[in-house]
Amino acid sequence: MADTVEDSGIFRSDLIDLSHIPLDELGRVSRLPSALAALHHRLAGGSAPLCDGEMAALCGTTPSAAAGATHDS
Amino acid sequence: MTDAEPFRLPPQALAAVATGDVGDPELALLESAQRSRLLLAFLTILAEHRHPDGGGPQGRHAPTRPSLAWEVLAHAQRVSPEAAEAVLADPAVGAWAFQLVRQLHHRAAPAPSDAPAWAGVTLLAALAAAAALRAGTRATLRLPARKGQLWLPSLGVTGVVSRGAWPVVTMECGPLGAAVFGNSGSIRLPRDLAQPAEGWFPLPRLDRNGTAGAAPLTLDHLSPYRDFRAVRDPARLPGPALDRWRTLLDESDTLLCRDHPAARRLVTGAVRTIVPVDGPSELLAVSATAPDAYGAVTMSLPVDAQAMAAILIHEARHQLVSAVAELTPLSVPVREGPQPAYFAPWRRDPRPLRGLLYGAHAFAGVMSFWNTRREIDKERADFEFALHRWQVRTALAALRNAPGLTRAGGMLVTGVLEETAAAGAEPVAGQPGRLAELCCHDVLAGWRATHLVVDASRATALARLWMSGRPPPAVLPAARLRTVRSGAPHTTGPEASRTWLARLWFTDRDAFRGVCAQLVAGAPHPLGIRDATVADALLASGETEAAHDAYRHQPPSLTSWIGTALTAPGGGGRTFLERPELALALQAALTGLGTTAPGPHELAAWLGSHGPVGNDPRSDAEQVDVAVGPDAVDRVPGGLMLGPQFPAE
Repeated sequence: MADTVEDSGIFRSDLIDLSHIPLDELGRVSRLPSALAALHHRLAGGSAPLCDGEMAALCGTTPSAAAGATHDS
Repeated sequence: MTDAEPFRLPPQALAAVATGDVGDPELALLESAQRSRLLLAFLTILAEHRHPDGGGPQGRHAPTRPSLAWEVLAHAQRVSPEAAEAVLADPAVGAWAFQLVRQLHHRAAPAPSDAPAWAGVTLLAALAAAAALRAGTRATLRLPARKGQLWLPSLGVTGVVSRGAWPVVTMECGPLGAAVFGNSGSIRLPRDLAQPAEGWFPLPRLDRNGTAGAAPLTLDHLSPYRDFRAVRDPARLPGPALDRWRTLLDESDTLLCRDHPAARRLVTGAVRTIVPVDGPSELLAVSATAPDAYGAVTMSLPVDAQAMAAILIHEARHQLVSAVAELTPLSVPVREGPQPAYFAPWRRDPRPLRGLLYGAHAFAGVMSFWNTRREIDKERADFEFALHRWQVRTALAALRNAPGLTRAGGMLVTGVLEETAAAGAEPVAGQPGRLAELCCHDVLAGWRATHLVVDASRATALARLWMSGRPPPAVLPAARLRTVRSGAPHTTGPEASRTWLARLWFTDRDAFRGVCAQLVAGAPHPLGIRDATVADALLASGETEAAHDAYRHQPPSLTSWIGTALTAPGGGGRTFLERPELALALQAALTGLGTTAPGPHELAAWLGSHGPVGNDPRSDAEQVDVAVGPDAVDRVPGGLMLGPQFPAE
């Protein structure tokens, strides 16, 4: 995902706003291919749970026995 | 063609997220972004669905096609937009959808508990079914039901109506009611789907109505995709446990409304579902946030309302930053070589930049929470505040110099810096401050001894100096992160048992005494505190001399060496605590040279005998930023990143 900052300092995302579009019209919105590509790119990088995939106390000082995914904070 | 604009994140919104002081506009923006992201996942599922495993019932037994389910969902939205929105807002829907997209689009390997591909994609019909039920529209859908129990997102699950791992069941709904049919039974759903009925298990709701407004919350112990670790069966939540959850969530909401209005806005805006799980104990409550499931916090029951509030603030902050990261990157991906790894004071293993950033931001909120409570909760809040302030300041020392942050990531760090500066720098007085300082030294020493390594040739040179009776060099050898095989996890350091005992000492004195009695009796992990000893309990209760004596009689181990140093009279253990990895490397080098090596404390005393380095009153160890660079011994000269560091409290 590109880090795009406009002159006003506003960060412009590659995620598009689908707020007011009915579900049955979603397939006909503009910018869809690039938005989908951006989503897929981010999902490819994984989305590690925060705190602890082993379910530890607040970000992981004392892991319990349960197995889990990777974790990042 | 309908026009869709890119989201724009104003710097003011990012600044609000950075300090945790968010309002309705920021929360609405992030919520909307998450919803749009979810819709894009649906479009991917619709475009890419197929049956790669060739499985699934065929013919008249086949599940409803995703495209048809989508039409039912869209129809329900046209009739009742709120009905569709309620379904889309269930965090378990995101957990299902994003993981499925990874499997469909990226060929991610499914976990053993995952649905087969045909069932995964046709679960879109479960969303349509729930929306149709909510909207009161007529629909007939055939959909997969894990172990015969139909999941209706945002509503609940049915009892078993069919046999098999993922049988296909039928749901019919219309103005006259709704029913679910399977090959081993049928269930008529109640009119009021919020109420339990025979064969129907609704998601428990908590309608908290604090002075700052309503804050509805769902306790999800039923949905198959509620737990990011695996697809789960519904779990029992007995009446007393449910009551305990209600009580603590109500009490924490009252506390937040009264004393922490900004944190209350944050929590109620970012957390709408709690997924209860088991933890080691109420003292060691566990919690986590998965970016796939925006709005959900997975956690175990904590000890009281304050602990509940602190956890919710922590996880709500994770939710916010995760949502921001979907709009604009916070760090630049490492394209070549190993990821830089850092000392994160809340973890026993080295962490990537993302973990350090997210953790610092979350703990800054916890720090501020306890700072506000110092007049109310006295010593407990003093201890927690001192501990978390040190954690955040230590992380900030690394983040301020970390390469790889984007402009947005830098703004997040700036916000945390401002929040930390507002907390002041005055040491916390009395036993809470002293004990927090000991815990900080303990954590850092354990981490260094576990993860840092001194070059063998330099350790040997030191050993030869020691054997010749000469003083140590003025500049001691640096350390670097221990190399691990690519992709392998780092080993974890010692348990933070002393920190947990100290926390218990300030939280519940009776429970602390109970733990002491269990330790004396030889219980291995009282209250879930692993590897604690009687000496640790003596230290936590302020009996320093007795603790020191007890540590000295323990078998040699890293934790007993650190304990001895923590309790040494007159700060005599300071050098060992600063450079445990060097003392241990020197000891190993001496042994390697065939010498009977003294203990690490004696060697640490020799290492510290030259006094402070140069004109700087701090030792070189203190000047070493323990944020450690890329974890490849041979790729980074020096191994350690040097930089300014806040002194520990």
